[in-house]
Amino acid sequence: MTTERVAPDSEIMAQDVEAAAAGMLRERAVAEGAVGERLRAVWEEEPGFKGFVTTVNHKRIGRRYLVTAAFFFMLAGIQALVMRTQLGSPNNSVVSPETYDQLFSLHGTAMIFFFATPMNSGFGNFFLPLMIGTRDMAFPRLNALSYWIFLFSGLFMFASLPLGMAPDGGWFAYVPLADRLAGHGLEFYALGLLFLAVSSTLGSINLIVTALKMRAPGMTLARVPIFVWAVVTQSFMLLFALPPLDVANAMLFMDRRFGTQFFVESGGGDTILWQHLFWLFGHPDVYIIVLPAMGIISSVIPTFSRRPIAAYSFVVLATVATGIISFGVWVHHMFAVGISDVAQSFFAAATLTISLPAGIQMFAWLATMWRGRIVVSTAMLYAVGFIITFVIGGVTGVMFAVVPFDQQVTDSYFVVAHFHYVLFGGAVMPMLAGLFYWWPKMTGRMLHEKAGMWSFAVVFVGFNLTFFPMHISGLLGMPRRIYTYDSDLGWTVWNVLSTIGSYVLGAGFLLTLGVFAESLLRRRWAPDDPWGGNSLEWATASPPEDYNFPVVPTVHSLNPLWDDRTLPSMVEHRHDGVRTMTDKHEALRTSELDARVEEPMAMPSDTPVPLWLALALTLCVVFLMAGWYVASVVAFAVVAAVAVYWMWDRPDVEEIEEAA
Amino acid sequence: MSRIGAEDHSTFSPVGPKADFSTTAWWLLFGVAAFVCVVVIALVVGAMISRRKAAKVREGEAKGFVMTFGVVIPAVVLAATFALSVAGIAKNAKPSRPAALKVQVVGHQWWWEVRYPDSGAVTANEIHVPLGTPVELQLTSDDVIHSFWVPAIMPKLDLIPGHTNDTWMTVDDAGTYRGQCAEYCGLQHAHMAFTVVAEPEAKFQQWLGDQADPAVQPTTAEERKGYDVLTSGSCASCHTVRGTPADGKVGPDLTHLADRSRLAAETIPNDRGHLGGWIANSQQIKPGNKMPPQPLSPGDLTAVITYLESLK
Amino acid sequence: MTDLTEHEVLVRPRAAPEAPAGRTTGWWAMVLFISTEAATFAAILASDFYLRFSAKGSWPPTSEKEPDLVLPTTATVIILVSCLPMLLGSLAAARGSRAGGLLGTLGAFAGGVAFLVLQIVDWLSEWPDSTVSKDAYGSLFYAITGLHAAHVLIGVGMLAFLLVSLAVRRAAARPRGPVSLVAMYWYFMGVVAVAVYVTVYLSATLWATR
Repeated sequence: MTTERVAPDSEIMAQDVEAAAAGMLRERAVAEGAVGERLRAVWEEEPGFKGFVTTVNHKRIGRRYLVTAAFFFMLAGIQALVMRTQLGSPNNSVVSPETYDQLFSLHGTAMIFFFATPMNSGFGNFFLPLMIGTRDMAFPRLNALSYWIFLFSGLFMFASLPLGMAPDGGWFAYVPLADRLAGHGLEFYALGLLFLAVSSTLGSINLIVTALKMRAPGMTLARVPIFVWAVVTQSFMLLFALPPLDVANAMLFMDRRFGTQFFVESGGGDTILWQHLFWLFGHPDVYIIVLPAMGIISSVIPTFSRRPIAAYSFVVLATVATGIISFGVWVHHMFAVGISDVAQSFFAAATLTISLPAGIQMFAWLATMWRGRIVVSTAMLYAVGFIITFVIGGVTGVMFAVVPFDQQVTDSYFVVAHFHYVLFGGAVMPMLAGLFYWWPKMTGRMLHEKAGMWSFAVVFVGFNLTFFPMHISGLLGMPRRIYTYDSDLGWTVWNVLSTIGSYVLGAGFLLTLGVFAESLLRRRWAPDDPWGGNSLEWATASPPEDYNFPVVPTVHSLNPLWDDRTLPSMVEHRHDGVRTMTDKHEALRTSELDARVEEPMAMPSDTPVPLWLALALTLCVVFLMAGWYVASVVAFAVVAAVAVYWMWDRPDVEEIEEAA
Repeated sequence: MSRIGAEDHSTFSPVGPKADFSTTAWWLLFGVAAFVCVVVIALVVGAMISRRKAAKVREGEAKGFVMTFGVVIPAVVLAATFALSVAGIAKNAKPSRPAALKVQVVGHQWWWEVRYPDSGAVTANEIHVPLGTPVELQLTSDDVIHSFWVPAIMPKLDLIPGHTNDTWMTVDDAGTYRGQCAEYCGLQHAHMAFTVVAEPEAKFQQWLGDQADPAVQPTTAEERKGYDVLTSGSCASCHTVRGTPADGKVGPDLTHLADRSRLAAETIPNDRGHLGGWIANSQQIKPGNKMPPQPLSPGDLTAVITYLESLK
Repeated sequence: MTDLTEHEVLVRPRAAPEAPAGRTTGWWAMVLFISTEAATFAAILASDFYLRFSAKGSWPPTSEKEPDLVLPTTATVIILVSCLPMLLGSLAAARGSRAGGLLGTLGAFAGGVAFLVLQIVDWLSEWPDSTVSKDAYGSLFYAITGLHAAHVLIGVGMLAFLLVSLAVRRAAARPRGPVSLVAMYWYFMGVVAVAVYVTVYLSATLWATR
């Protein structure tokens, strides 16, 4: 990290001193000095409430995704605590069976759909543009729309609980039970997930296009950070995994409301069709949740091992391969359905294959650590916690490929233990690592590291105490989704341990919240690059300016902040109009494979239109739920009208009209 | 009959070839898995400790290490795992000798209908099988998907409406083993258990013969009164007592109710008090079950209980 | 073809000046959108075949009559043919010709409207014999054709938007502009129409199992 190659002129020397005092990278200081003021004027958004609802800035939207998803995590976590309390002793009656069924159904649905995936979207939204050195997402207004739809679909889904109409068919809502359950829970489920899918689809397109077309010059495919690879892979997976789920949910809704016969045996329908469609989404979804989280780990470990990641190309291949193979293993969720022996063998083999890419990543991280010089931080501890829990979840996952064993433990607490090790260990721990790692970048404040480490310890112990005993209760024959059990079956002690663990885990999360709150209250300002990180987000201010990069740098390596040329390129290009784009709201478009400069492209300014569209769509969904179909069609017409207004008001068209 | 213990509902104490295989597979898998976990955890914790004070960062991509430990060694282990899996699939496909007895199990919310089609015996929540011989099982469901699971005897197989899943089981040790529905099937999924009673051939044939017989005739006045209440009242619209006009198909067959050790899919013991409580208001005991409370006069209720208790 | 003559020096060909170079973000967005929509149609068409082949009896069920082929065949041909004016229109718009763009778009628009009208007439003629709730066959018939028709309706809306755009805005006619994006969607509608036609109509008549 030297700037010897840049001819020092007086301007640079003067700013150097100032920059060091403010924790600024000197190259950024020079670049800000050259164009910062003009950019701030161009990129400034409306202040106050108006700005809050009209913003299209990827960092504000990303932050909102994180906060909203964390909020849903808390709600779903509280539901889990109620369930654990109910199971804390045999024949307990803290909640009724009706409530218990709603709790576990909504807990799973919320954690998978309204926490894990949007949390990844939050990290992706905030950090993908920063990591690739651009100023915003490819479609900022679409980005705002994705967020609002996510928020409203989450509120829609959670509103079902106080109404006493929460989904009660489990998170995978098997028919014919889901076709027959009384009440409106399954309609909330089907509509809520369809509604959310709009957000996920738009968000995925946005992330992919951003990563393809907006990487800083020089960031060829071989220099793309693994986190970005992971987010792009995940987004592609969503584009192909959501459709079967959408089709299944639409069929479920129509079966319940319009008397269609898709899943009705007597009407020529088939109950197993649901399982195929659902798991064709459901298994890729495990990796949709886990891959970006593993991408976070691939960011944290090199930084705190003080060296580039080992076997980068293998890790990238493993990431992409995971995405592809994950579409070929769904039937291992259905080994107890009574499928043919040939199909069982095939899907057993596919299931085994998918553990190879995971092994590659695991040993690449270990190699990075063993060849590095480790700095212990809370983020790094969470990365270690992730490796430990994920390997346990991974080995139990491999066990499911032994079909007779799978049939023995599927739908038992063994599976509950397994997927919490995979999803909590594989996603929540990396997300916490990511929060501790990027907190200074997001908030501009440092965290209390000691307290953070204690919070990690409590979360780690609480997690293992909650979920490890479930392996044993499952092997002792305890099926999942039972609201109570008898005392003479030998399950009591393991359930008591789990329940105690869940309270410890809850306390760990409270402690973590406390650590975050403390940081927000104190004024421990963060420098630009507190960890000596390797990727481009650390070349921005903490928190980043609205335009992220005053000068779009030229990326010279996979670890741009650790080479000698990338940062100085911000100084070099500070008078280059294409790199600074100071006149208009613009971002740089580059080529897909080798990131050559194409042209600056117009970016939209803040606008309330995405919010209007999301609100109109919400009305459409609410009317469908209420059974007011005509009103729903009218609301959809409003959606179309807002969309027309939106498309008419395109910034690039205005630019061209002006130019012509 | 003594209450089922923990060991009668555990994958750790297998009593048949299918569960045997799963348990053996488990211990093999557990050994390998524990070894992998210990190695990885040792590597990561070791790195955290020993590389903190490392003098310098080492260069290099470590591709050989990643390939060896991430791909080559796992591939060998996974190939062995696959062999184990295929061996298990093949072993479980057919019993070692043809099954002599056929049992049909029909899942209902939330109880198990058990039929012996060759003899005409019908019972509920209790499957008697002869010891040491393969039994053919035909599994289906009347309403939603359930899953047939007897951890000590055999892994799960689903009961799916409109489909019949054929399988088999063999029990090698005499005893009573607990099974439970393993696919979430609605409100009382938690109370949908059953037992498998494995007994010597002669004893089993005796039992089967008894079950195939129609119900015994009421002998005492009280029993006759119970018979009248049952056959003329709402009971008969849902329950069958073979040999009487009661031929309802909704609830369990009651022809030999008194032979069963527990009621309501293993929810309560089969004794006078519990039986009476169940008939009067089963919703208190198993909320949401399909049997409505029976507003019988105390005299009628006692008579019905007495009659049902006579149905050996 | 010309042969080289002695002493001739070939001049390096110059690539046509591309302005702007490279694929746009809009192009990628449309490609990805079409991909995910294609997966949606794949999922519902696969469901049709799944239910057909897991059905124990005949397909269509004996209580259903085989669909009439005249209307759907006409409609499918119309939407396919309407891709041609769409192509010509988008090429014209790329050259900067608003008139050509307008004309082509109008052709596709007319094809789309005609398709929708025929589809509705077809539903009305099928409804007396088969409803959505009669059996899974009926449910699939209306769900698949309905999903496609809804997409065509949205496409017709896009075309209408284009028509107005082209009429009042110079910028609407430009290389890689909105006409080329809507055109991609429209070709996709044509391809899906064929897939739907084969799955819902042809396989229930020509390849019916009675």
